Amino acid sequence: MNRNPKIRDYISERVEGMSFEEIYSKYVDAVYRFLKFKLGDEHLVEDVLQETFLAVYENLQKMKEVSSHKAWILTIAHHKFVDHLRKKRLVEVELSEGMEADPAPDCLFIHQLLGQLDETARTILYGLYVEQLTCSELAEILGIPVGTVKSKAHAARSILQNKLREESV
Amino acid sequence: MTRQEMYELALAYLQKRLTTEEKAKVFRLIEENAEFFQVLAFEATLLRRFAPLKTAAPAGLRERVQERITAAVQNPGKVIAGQVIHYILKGTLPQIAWAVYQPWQRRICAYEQQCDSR
Repeated sequence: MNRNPKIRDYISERVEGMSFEEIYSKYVDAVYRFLKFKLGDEHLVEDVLQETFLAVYENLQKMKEVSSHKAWILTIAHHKFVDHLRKKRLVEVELSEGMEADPAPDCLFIHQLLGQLDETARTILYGLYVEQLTCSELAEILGIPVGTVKSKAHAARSILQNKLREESV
Repeated sequence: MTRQEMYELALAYLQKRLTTEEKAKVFRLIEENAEFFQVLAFEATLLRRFAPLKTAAPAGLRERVQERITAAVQNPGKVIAGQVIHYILKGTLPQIAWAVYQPWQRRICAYEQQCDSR
């Protein structure tokens, strides 16, 4: 039996019918993918992933108040990503280089396509097509109005449509 | 219906997020509206292109991070001390030495956690 109260809470505390371990198992893949997409480097992803889930654990009670658990956890991951950028003083150019440094061969084309877009538009398309998030959820994650998400998504689609058309010619 | 609404409806249909009534609307649009059909085809292409990005976290990484979170909850002081050392070394070691040190440190941490859990 574990005598440490923090560990007892860690194991037994349940929010919305789920223990922290169950929450971790359910969302770790989505957070990993999101951070891998944003950061590229596997070591950085691992560190920021850990920071994200530690913050989730520390704010577990807030999970009761949110409408979408996935969006809430990805919002924390996005904040941790931004914190990381601030700490490292990375500029967007370096980020893009990191993203395209070593994508898997089957991801190469989509990385090249997304390279035409700004960081926010890339994240919006990623959220819509990979994580199946709604525009409201993306607005919450990025901290921008829903209208901006919709207009950026629309503009990004037009750019990708032209690129795909050029590719097929 | 605006083109933006068409995109949203088409994507929701392909991601199976529609009610029966909304699906009926999509089927009607496919038959009657050539522009909607083009939008639907484009959304299907984008979904296919994005599919390789939907990867799972490697099992080793999942376990390592979970063990480190458990350790952080169990002994926060040890983790803070480790992070301070981590940032000092990162700031002072030459980049090439850091590249060697980091994987080595991770192996040591994983070994310590295994010993702790035994």
